[in-house]
Amino acid sequence: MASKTASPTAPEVDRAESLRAQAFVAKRAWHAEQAALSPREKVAILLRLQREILPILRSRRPLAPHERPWPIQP
Amino acid sequence: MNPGSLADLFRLLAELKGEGVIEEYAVVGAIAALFYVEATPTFDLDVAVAVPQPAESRFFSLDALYAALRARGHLPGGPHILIGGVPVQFLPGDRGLWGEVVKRAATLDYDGTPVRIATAEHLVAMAFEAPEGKRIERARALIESSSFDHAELAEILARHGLQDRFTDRPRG
Repeated sequence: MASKTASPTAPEVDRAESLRAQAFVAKRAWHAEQAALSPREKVAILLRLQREILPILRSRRPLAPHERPWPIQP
Repeated sequence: MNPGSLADLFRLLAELKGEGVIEEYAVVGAIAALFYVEATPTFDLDVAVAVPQPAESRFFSLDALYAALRARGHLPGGPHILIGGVPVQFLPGDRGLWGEVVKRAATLDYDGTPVRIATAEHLVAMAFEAPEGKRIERARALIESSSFDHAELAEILARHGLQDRFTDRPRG
């Protein structure tokens, strides 16, 4: 019986590599979809990102005066 | 005018050009990049401008543009002008690479509104003129985009003596 620390078998390595490859393909496809959105849709994403990242930035450093979510529609 | 949308702000740029306050302009930076690649966070909108210069002036001045914006109620806030709450930074686009960026910007469509946007190749050249983390990351995404013209970038870099700064290569 294999111990918990035993090296992965060849099929296990193949399986892990295949999962990684699938993940990278899916990720590339997602980025391609994002890039293909219309500028207006991307601005809508940007406005959401502004609101989401602001608390993270604030927790790391003082914010610059201009670092505020834009009060506009896309 | 208080822009309720980015299209309103783009219309204001066209209006300023129509009035002769701006000779020509090009949106640059992260907002320009999103016309070519996926959106990345930014909190300001950069616009390179060529503006008429007073005959007696030896230096590039944005005074007339600032005065026209102030007259519309848009006030400076640090290096930006706040236009409907959007911090807009106007940058000299009168000569060199930046002058070329303004002259050769593409007129693209934003939700039915035409707007002059720096080309992807110029955005990359600008990133390597003043390399900085975010700009280089954006440049990499632009270089990897399907419609990117590598020959055009090489010509721009050569024209402006930037070949040596271009050290990055697309992934994969």
